Amino acid sequence: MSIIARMLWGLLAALLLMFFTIEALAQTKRDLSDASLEDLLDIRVSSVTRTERTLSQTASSVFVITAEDIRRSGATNIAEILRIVPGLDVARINANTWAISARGFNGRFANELLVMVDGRPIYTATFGGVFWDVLDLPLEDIDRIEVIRGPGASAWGANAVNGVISILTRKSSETQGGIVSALAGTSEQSVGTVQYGSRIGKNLTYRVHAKYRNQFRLPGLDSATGADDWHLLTSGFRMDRDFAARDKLTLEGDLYGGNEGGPAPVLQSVTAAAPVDMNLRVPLSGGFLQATWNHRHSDRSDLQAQLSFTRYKRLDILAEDRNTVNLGFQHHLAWGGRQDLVWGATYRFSESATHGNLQFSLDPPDSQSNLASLFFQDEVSLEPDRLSVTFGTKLEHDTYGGWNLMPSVRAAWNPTPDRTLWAAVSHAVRTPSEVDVASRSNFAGFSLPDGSPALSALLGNPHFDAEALTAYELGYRADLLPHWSVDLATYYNHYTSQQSTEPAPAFFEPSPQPPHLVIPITYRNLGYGESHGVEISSNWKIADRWTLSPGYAFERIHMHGKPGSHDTATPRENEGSSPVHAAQLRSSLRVRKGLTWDAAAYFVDRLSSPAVSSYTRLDSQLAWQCKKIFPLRLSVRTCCATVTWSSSIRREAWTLQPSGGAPI
Amino acid sequence: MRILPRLWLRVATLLCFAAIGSIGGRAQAAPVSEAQLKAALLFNFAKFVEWPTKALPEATTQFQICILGSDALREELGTITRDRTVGGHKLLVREVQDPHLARGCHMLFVSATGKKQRTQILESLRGTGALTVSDVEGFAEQGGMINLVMREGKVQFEINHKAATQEGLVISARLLSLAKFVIE
Repeated sequence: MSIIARMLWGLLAALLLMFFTIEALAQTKRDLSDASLEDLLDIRVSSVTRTERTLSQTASSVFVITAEDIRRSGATNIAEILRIVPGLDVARINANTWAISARGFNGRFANELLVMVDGRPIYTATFGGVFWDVLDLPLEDIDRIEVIRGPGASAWGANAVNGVISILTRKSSETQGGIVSALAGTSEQSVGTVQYGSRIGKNLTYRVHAKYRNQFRLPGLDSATGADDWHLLTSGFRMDRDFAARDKLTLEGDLYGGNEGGPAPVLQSVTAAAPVDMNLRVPLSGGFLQATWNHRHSDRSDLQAQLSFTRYKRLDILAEDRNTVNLGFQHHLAWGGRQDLVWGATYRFSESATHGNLQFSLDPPDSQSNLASLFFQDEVSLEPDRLSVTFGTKLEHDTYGGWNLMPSVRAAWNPTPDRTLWAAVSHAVRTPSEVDVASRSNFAGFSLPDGSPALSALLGNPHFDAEALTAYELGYRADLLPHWSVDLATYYNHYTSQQSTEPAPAFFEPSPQPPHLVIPITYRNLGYGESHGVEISSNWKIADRWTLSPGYAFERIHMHGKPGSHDTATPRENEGSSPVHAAQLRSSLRVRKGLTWDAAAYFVDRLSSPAVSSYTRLDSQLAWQCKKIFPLRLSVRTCCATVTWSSSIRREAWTLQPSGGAPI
Repeated sequence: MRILPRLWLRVATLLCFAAIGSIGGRAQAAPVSEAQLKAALLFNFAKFVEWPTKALPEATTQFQICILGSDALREELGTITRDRTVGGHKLLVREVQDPHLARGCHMLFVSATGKKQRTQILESLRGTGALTVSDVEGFAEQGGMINLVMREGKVQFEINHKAATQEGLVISARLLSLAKFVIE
């Protein structure tokens, strides 16, 4: 028996032991169906069994986007919906590419956000970020999007450094019937969805959908239209099966195919002085299959197990084909008098094959990586409904970053049921991605003083460590007046072992021709720094039919290099990657029965790196909903009217969205 | 092969542990969750309120209890009402995501999570003969019919009798007498 097998056995035994013992602590349920009214009024509730925690009492910076918010935002893809979260920086780079991050460090390859759909992590191990262009599920099927700004590492998966975005889709029992939705516009030329949901027998429901998107090219900052059009056909399904009252099985999956324009710099030869901008056509394909099993052992204990397989193929400059298997197990248990425990384990296996080019490649081109973690989180109610403390930790091991421990402590105090003061200290790490450890980028060829050719390059570092963050957060959430609620979050983040690029020893390379000297820089962990900021969101119901939702976020980042670091560029880039100020005002008005008008203005401060001027964006949507004859919804929207101090771009889209099938 | 007996030893220890744990656990009184208690109350409300004929025109009409914003309560209610009837009507428990979809509900429970939509819900249900229940404080004053209130771990309720009467609902005297507060 090898050491690994022994370790595995030990782990399994420990897991089983934990499961059986704590499972045994949970009791069977009392039957109340025949209790008299008088008896019911005399029963005292054990507050700790309240597994569903209302948002107003959570000890973290949470923002929930509801289905209603999605419908009224008028957005046609997930990335654009996220704009309504104050403190989440959503920057559209071109028609098919977004940079999205919370609390700084934004960029095309932002890598500190954990994004999940129904519990399945969708960020790629290649660079630690998300391909937003292939996340194209029908927006009608989204139940809600929960956004946590700040670290969520102790309970959630890897990569939850600056935030967690969890997209939850509706159960198929809630989307019975058919939906036909069509959109035509000037920039989104056409988006169409066809969906049908039905029931087989008493306990099985399903839905199937197909969605097509044809996105036109958008003008760039220089007003020239880019080759960034985007076409995607996605088809998917979800199936829910109830077994008695305790078990539920959900199967879901999708397949997509399409292509998009991908402007990219490409170095033509080792002697070329600069890369040439090329308009690549990038074929996209992929899909996933996922099974989730939920078991409610009792009112105080439930289990969830999830298995998923994800595959994608993107023929961009890296030309990657990646397969990922995710396995997750989670047990929730209310135990003792006042404790609420969640613990679980996750495992990810990912393999990738790439065909890079001279501009960008991975060495070795094919890779396999493993990531495993164990976590627990316990919420102790010190004073029922008033004071609670949550502590937890996660132990993670991955191929590139080794072992990491991510503990956190959170406390929430509710002086009254509608006011919450919370504080948290947490530690999170970003596991190194394949780009950090195995990439090779060639920048430019030049001649040495003696005339021999040389090439400047950036190399991945196999010894690159995980980047670490310790975050201190403080927040207040309250219904200040019956019609006015405010949510305030402040934070101070301390970053260590941050990525920097440092000179590395030069070496000689015989191929590609001509033989040349490589003058490289490589990734090191010599950066550190801190950031602080404030995020405010508010809801003001001025009248029954009119709500205003202002939001504001402020952030400053200060990054430095440790002694020995020669990198002055990366700290400046990180400091300038996110706006210092961002503000928004959303208005939601019901004009008359069935007719609504929503408008939103977003101000985003300038960026210094890359240099982008500040802008204000205006969105507006007028929607009419008819239910009498046939459930139909029509809306007209103008979006993205952006105003910048240097230029003014105006784009409009007209939307025609009839939809039907919802039970009324 | 020397490892095998040790494996079994470990399994045995583990099972002993589990058994001891289970016995200890079962001996305690089963606590009741808030959702479980509220679900039982909702089922009782259905029994102690009479609906107008326009709301339940035929004996085959299903009696719909709708829940907005509480998965746990919906599940508990589903368990309690399984194979039960109210006044001969079959019971259907369903989740409502959007207040617009609440038409057809005979009883609608709105939880704290759906707070901002309360006014909208009350407006959209006017004239349909639906009983509105919530656990948000101030719901009865706002025009809702039954307000569940938690006091020191026990549940109490307030009734807005006026709002219920306007909708043609008849609340039994027994239910009215148990209410902590009645708005006439």
